[in-house]
Amino acid sequence: MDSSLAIEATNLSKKYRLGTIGMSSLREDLSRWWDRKKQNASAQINTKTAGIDQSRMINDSEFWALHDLNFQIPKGEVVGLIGANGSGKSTLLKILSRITEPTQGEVKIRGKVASLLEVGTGFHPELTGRENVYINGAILGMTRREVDAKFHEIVEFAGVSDFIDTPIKRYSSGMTVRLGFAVAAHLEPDILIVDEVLAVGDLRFQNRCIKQMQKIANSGKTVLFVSHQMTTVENLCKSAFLLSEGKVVFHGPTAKVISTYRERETFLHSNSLSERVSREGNRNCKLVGFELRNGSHLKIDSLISGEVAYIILNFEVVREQKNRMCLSLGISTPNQNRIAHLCMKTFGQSIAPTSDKTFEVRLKLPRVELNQGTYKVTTFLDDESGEIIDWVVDAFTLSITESDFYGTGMVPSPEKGCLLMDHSFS
Amino acid sequence: MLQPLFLTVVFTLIFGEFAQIPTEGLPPLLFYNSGLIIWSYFSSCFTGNASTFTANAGIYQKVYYPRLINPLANCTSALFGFSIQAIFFLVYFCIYKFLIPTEEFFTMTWAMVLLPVLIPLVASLGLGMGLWMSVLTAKYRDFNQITGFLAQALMYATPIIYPLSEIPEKYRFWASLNPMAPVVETFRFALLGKGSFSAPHLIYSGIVALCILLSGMYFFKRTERRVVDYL
Repeated sequence: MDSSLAIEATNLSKKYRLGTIGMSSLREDLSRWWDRKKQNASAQINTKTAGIDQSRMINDSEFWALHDLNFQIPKGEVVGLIGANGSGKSTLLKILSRITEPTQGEVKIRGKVASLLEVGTGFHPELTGRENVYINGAILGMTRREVDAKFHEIVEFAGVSDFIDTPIKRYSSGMTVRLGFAVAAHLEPDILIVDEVLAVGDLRFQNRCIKQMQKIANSGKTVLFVSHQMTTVENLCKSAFLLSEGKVVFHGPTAKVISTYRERETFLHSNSLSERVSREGNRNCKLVGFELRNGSHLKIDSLISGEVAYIILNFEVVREQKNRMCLSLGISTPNQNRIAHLCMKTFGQSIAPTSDKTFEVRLKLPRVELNQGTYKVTTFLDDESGEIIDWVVDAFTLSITESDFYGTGMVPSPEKGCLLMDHSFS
Repeated sequence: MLQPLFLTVVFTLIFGEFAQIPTEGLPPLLFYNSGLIIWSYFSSCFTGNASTFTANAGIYQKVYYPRLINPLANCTSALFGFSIQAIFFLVYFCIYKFLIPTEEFFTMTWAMVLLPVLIPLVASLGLGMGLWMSVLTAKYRDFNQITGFLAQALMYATPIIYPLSEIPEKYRFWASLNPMAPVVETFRFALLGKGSFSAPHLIYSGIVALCILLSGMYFFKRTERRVVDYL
């Protein structure tokens, strides 16, 4: 292994089983064995495999949680790991932190690893904050002297100095996680593995956590960081991995990985629109797909703020529809704050019923007035009489790429607000 | 920690007073207590570790450290309980020796020097069996029930409520197969001067303990690598 590498994985695979196999009772195992002997045929295990991509299945009861991973992480780099739920992130972290073994392949790790998959592992409710700091520190791999040296800092960071000799069962849940994070944040390993744990405490504490992480990152340690908060990943990590269906599908600079991830997510969503069952209405017509196009009518994956864009919605006619129809779109932030409502009725327009099998509705945005980020679009199609035909909440995700909206040479910061509007000061 | 004390009182009443089981001419209380304190140390090493994996599943799924630390810590902390009970024993011993006049003769013997060997022997036997059980309970939950039963059965098979010399000749060979039997007998011989000391038997116990401990550690190590996948 190259000495400039901190982690090197070759052909790493992890197989998991579905169903209740594994931990069982001897009695059950024996009776299963007896049944099999009697019937002289292997008992079929019925497990639902819907929801897991078929390419990941080995047979009907086993699947690859990770499949043939190859990657290298250089020393001193802060690497993000992103991917949808179930893409194998946690499994990978568990293997890297030696909690479980890979089924195939191997990982070579140089240096002392500390993993932070949970905040406050091993905390005992009956013990005081002070005692728990020592226990948790020991579990995470700190010696007593190391904890002694940092004790004051840890307590200060967690902001629980008044309660340090109180049993933690009397702590508020926020105080407990803060104390847990504080211990972990003062670890000094060569490689730090962090799972989605920054999302603890209030906003002020979260900011402090991120600052602390940045401090660790700047001190030349190798950090592997998993989060669903893309802005945090972007701030902390230089490069990132994108994991999907148990494979590393992309590795590169963080910004690029994040945009790839968003595109993939949008793509996956648009594919499943026609199969989506969580929708309301009589379903005479059904939203089956959408497309984004730019001002020159070329297909694009994300809209650029400040530019012309078209959203094209494809509908399928399931049953004959007699009356004219009306479409409206609601745009919300990922936190479900509705920011815009675009409705045909406002302009007195409607859709004429058609005898074709499909029809499309074209929506023009002369100037995209949204800041960079992702937004959720809800579509609502109703009859002139007011009967709902097809109502799909969060039908698809719209991603907006940054641009110099105001033409001032400055890109508006996404944290400062999601809406961009023309304005001038005097 | 108080359990051996209660058991001693119960045993003294039931087996000593009611059933009149001979105690080799020793005051029944001292006889039972001496057997029970060494037994309870064995028992906590054994039953305390039998569910290592299932009991620590929460931590094991979140952080890695050599899993053997938990069983070792259990055995070490059980040593604390053992020393407290040993102090209690010394108190009873002095009371019987100096305050209550009895015609029975008992005294501590040279075998006391064997204590530094006996205690690690008991610990490794208990730890070894505990490791074995922890591997089994990780795979099969119903073994949890067996642990308590096994500990109890083993206690009756060990000369705690009866001296080894009371066992009829034809069964004595089988009784001495139990690796705990020579340990308890030697322990009692050291503390009270009654009981039997037999070097070959003690060496036999040591070999059995070592085999169980090493095999237990081997399987424990093998189990810890993948155990979180099915806990």
